[in-house]
Amino acid sequence: MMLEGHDESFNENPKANGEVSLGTTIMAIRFDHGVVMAADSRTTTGSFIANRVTDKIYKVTDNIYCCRSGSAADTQAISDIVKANLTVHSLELGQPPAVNTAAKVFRSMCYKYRDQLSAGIIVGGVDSTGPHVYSIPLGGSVVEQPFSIGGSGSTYIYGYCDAHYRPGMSKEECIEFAKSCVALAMSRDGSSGGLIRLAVITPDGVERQVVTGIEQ
Amino acid sequence: MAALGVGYDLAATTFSTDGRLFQVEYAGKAADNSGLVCALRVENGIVFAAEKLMHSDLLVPSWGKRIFTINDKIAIAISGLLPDARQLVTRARDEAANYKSQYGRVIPVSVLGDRLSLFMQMYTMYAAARPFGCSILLGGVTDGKPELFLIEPSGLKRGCYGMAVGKGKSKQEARNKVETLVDTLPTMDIQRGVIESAKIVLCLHDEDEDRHMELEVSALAADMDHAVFTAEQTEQITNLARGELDAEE
Repeated sequence: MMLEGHDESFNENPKANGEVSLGTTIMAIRFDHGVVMAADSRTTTGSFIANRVTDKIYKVTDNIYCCRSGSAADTQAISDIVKANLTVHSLELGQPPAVNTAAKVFRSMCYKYRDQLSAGIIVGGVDSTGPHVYSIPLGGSVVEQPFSIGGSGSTYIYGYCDAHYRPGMSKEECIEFAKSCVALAMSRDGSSGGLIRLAVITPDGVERQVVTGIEQ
Repeated sequence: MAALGVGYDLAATTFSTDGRLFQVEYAGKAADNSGLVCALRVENGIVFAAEKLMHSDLLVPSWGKRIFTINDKIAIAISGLLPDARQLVTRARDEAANYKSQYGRVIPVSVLGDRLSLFMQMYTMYAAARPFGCSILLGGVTDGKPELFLIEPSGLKRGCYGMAVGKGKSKQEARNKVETLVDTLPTMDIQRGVIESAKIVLCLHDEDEDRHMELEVSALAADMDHAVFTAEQTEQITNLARGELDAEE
């Protein structure tokens, strides 16, 4: 079973005792006119790294991306369905979909099939009301946040994020913040590693970046 | 005209030799067979006025509603077979609610119009079902901008500045009156729109043929949820409208 950044305990049916730790380190931060999405690039099957250059930042629409954590198969399947759904929706609407619409569609799948899925998703994008970040953890709840971290690696950086996040950071500050958060998580979490991939979404378009090696 | 339909008008699934669906056209005639209903797209909203023909003094005044709220910012006024139209109103309410639940945003009026026109069109393709015998005037505000559509039994949806549907002669005359207003509609406010639409309905009401009528008026705007006016408000509107009509004569 291909899992993005999972540790061994998942293979022993952790759902039976309620313990599922999502692999990966993913995050998204909102700044005044856009969103920075960041993720590591490790996909594991048990302790074998199946893909060390994975792209966990998936394009849902031109203006909305999502970061995927949990089961690779589950998140890929959900993302594909949501992308198809939103494509038709935006054709009918005559304009790009709103980020909260994308979050709502993701949520409806994640909640409806919560017992069969293992998917933690962060949705980020820019629409006519501005930039937005929505976190959809296991179970299918939705919460909008100024920044969101997810995956098994995120547990190691909660303190760092709380200490160093300031509202009103510029785009460049957010990019540096995202890189350092993901790098720190990758250096402590065995299920996260490889490259740091970034996507910077603004009304002018999306810029993808890659950071090789671990900084700091 | 009737002779042309012989043989080709028995089922909605049969085209005539000149490419027409007679059953759908007959449904269109059923759609005109009711009191006049008129809607205007004004600067920041939509106004509706309907002529409720009360065929008997035994009927309570609130009977025979022809204007229905779909959600706060969308309403439908109906013409033709009222029971058929109520089915469409229910469908519209469900579509609007499901859209909101699924996509987290209020359904745009033209999207709802597409859903309803597809729904009505479906009933023109099967021999086992008949077309809807009603037309609907669908009006609402999307992102602050008002939109008005006429949807006919064939499923054809048309965007309008203003529109009237109803009994034969008065329909054409009403449409002529609406045409005279078209240039002023983009800058008309809701209050004026209400009076103008009421004037059209009251003026064309045939006192001899349908003696007892009730006026039903409603409005919605970017800053005002859809509401059908109360009896008191409708009376005030009627008096104002009649006053202006008398003055014009």
